[in-house]
Amino acid sequence: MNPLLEAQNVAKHYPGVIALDGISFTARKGKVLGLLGPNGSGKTTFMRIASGQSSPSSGRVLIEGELPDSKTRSRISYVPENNHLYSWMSVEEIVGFFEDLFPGFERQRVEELMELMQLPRKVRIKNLSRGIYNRLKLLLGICWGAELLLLDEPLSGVDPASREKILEGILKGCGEQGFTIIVSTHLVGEVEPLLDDVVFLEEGRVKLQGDCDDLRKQFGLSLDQLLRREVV
Amino acid sequence: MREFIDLMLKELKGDRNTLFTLFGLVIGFFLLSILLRELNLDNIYIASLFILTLLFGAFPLIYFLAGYDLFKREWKEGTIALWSIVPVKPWKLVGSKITAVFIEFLVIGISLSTAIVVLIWPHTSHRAEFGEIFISTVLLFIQSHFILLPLAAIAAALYMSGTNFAKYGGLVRLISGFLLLWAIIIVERLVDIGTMSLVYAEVPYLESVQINGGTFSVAFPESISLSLVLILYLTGILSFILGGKLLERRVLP
Repeated sequence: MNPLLEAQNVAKHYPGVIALDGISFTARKGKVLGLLGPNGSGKTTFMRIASGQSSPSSGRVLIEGELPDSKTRSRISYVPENNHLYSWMSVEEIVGFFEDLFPGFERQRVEELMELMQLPRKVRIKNLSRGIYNRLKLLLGICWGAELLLLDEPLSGVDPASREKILEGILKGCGEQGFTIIVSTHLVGEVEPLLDDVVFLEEGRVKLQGDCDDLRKQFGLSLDQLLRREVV
Repeated sequence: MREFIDLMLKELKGDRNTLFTLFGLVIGFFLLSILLRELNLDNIYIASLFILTLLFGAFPLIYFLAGYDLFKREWKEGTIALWSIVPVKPWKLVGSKITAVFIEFLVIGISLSTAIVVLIWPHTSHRAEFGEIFISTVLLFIQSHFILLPLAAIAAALYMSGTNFAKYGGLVRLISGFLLLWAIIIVERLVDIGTMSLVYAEVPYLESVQINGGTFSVAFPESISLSLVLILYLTGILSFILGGKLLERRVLP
């Protein structure tokens, strides 16, 4: 199967810090790839490069053979870990804002997902709990027809009940839309059922990568156990 | 066009702090002036009028700071990440923000003009009609407003120029700002193509207002160098284009 995203020897250096040290992997079309690793392993740095928010010091990321630019931007939906939505808007207002700006916005689907994820419409974003805020970010990330969804730590700081809702949303988004998803997280156990492929990062390097089923068979361990053994 | 209007409305709704602060200052000094007048505290009343009129003179600085803050705010709050996924041309993002500043300050400026005219009109010696004074004051503000508009684009581009230099960003902006100011002054002196009259010159009612023996004078300039206006616009347009490019290359993929 053709890769939608291809990382070729991607490195990112900051003064005194090597955030990424020449990582290479591919994300297959229509599959969910887990970018796993402890805090500080370079997951967010890679997500920012893949979304085009940052440039690699060397190497490159290709989206179906093209470097990230204004054309690929309309195909990638990046949901960062940090807050990126206008805190003064209400849930209803930010949904309307996205509807006005994204030509492929699917109102009907959003209405269904808002019900599923139990999002309050009138509440301002600054007053949302972490869990509900993350559900909203996910909803806005999957509602406008992007082909590649980059989810940076979608479960970080979220209570177990909200995690279920978020995972349900990802599953629904992926299953029905055929998204290619790259999800970065250190909560491996939670996302393991979603993943098709996995890349373990440690200190900016790829420690292990491959098809999840193959790795489980090869090592006789779950991904969570494997991460603990190999990386943590 | 709809995207542009949506973005501009978002900007106007979101930037309530600047709007409310400036509007509050105008209303506050207006009410204070009325109170002081009623209490016959003429000297303090004149001082209050003076401060209110100073706001008029502070608009170039306010314009510059508002333009500088347009993208700084997005960076600080992390909402700049939203722009990396919004499929809108960078010039629309920059243009909608500058248009919002223009509309915002137009509203504040007209309120300020109204407040000044209401307070000063009873004391004018020219016996001009209230309507005539009001219209000329508002027109003066609108004219100044158009002259100052490029400052917002220049300030926005200055901020953008430092976004890719991490801890040296402030220094890059400072140096860019000084170089730009120096270039504007030099070119303005070299190119003398006459002056442009300001609306104020038509109705010089504020030159000297007598308030119970005290005198309140305002020294508004009657004209402005035409080359300065043209240079400001030329720099503003170049900054607008540069701002869009910087946003596209450095911030957006």
